[in-house]
Amino acid sequence: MNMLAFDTCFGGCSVAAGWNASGTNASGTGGPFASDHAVSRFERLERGHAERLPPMIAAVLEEAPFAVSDLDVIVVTTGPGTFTGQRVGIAAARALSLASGAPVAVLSSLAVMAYTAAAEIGPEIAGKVLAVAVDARRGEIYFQAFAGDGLAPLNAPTLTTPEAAAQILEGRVAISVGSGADMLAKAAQALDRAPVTARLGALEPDVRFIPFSSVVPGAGLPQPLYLRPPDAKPQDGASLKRVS
Amino acid sequence: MPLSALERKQDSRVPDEDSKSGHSGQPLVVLGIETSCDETAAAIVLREADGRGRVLSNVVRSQFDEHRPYGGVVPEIAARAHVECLDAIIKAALAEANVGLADLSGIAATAGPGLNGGLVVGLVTGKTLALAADKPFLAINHLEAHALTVGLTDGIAPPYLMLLVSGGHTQTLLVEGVGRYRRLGTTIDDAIGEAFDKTAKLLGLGYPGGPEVEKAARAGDPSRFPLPRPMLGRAEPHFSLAGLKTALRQRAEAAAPLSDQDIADLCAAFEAAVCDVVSDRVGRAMEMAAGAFTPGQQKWLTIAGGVAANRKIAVALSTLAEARGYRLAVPPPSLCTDNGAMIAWAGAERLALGLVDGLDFAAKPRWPLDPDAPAAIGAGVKA
Repeated sequence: MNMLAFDTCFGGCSVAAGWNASGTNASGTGGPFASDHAVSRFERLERGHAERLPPMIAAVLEEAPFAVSDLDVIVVTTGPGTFTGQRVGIAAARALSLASGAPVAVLSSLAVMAYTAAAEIGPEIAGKVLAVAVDARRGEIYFQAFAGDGLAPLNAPTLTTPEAAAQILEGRVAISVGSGADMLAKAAQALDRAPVTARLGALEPDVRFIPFSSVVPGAGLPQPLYLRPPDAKPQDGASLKRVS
Repeated sequence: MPLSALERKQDSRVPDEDSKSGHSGQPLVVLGIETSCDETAAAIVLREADGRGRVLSNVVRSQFDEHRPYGGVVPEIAARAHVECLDAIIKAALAEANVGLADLSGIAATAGPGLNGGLVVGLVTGKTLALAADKPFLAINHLEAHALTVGLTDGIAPPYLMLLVSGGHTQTLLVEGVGRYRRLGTTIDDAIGEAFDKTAKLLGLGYPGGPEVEKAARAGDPSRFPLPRPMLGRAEPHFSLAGLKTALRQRAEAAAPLSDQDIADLCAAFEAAVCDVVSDRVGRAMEMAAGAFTPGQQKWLTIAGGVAANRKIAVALSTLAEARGYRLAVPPPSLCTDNGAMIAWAGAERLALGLVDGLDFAAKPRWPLDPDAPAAIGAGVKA
């Protein structure tokens, strides 16, 4: 199985290629991209994903023992994220799919953040909820919660207030991660909920932590998951009156 | 080393036979991608070894329906529409031309000027296809593509004079060669296409405004509402549309509520004023370009941009050209408005000269063709 994954949704740009033929890696832990049969790149960057992603893909493919034409699956995060950043990944995935004929598997950027955080946090997450929260400005967060054991998603990615996200946690003990982790922890505290501990405030998604089990090739083409409409209002009243 | 030298690097995949003349070498087949505004477009163009061009396919999807409720292009809506359909448009262009990615000599995409969100979609798609298919990548200036189109359609070689008139641009240019442009005049406020759109919006006509104003003007009397002709006879070669637009608004407000005849007369008056301004300003550019042509050489005036589709403006320029010893070349409307074929052609012309770009090329929302042109006094970012 030859896989290429990338993410450009938030303040990082990551690319990984994996070629684990058996579908499980030698150690049985981590993702296929964390095995010996993988190469990856990660860069922290606020902007310029469109400039960095193609050269990073080229660099990873240079080191991988397979060519674009040998790809079995392309993995991309569809969002949430910065609108332009999301489109960088989607455009690259669609172009690679066009060139290789390989199907595309999609993941939420927040799920990749959960995989990345779990690798960092370790066994401490067992029995708790891992709550990914990214500051979406205007007093809102991009939010998705995962079971600490196995990282199964507990809700779909959503745009909500920290208070509403704290309600979704239903009083379970949680570790919150991401740039909105503090906002969520404070909201839970204010609501007198079970403790939410904020960690890894500077967390960015890194695709090399994606587990094999979460890669499910889709039949269609990836669509961005925006969660926010474009900032535009239909005009009215701009024209002069007509004779009725 | 200047940044421009770093960005424009030589590439080992460029065919060796190509010479600096740009008119020898081998046939080039190039994919062109255009996403700078509200059209998603892809095309395949063949550049023969002798430098002649042929359009093998030219697929365009306009986003008029998406933007119509807003009366103008909304950048975020445009970017969302581009990413959803660009790959399918490219597939259609390849299929129609009956070529695969492996048959291409290079992949070109508009890198600017334009709306950043759309440019990013086209650029990332083009760069990723180039790396996947191991083909040279060409980052194209949208204005350069417009400027070079008559080489594709009419085989016209530089030097020639060019009027670029669209919703975003109003410029007179002297095209001296591929990559060599002298901007003569530009607008110090609105672009002409923008003035057409705003007039249509004011009068409650549809979007896009240019064709609607033209249609309404057919039944109109251009002399009923007197309108000014800004910049007429001025020595500096620039355009100004803001005063004309304001005058039109005042006349229209005074006449409101408007009947169909009022609207027709206002449109006719507006169109007549624009024709007079364009003739005068292009005439001034002709005086400035006089030294660029050798005695006896055929002098060409060319037009590009959406406004080039306006019949009355074309007639006015034809009259002017005849009076000044020029010939007028107007590409077909499908190649005057935004399209992928002009991007592919500009890419082929640059590839023939070995002017290829890196996968790290960044979108340039503002990218003047002639960065050395003196700024027009009062002009904003559109200069």
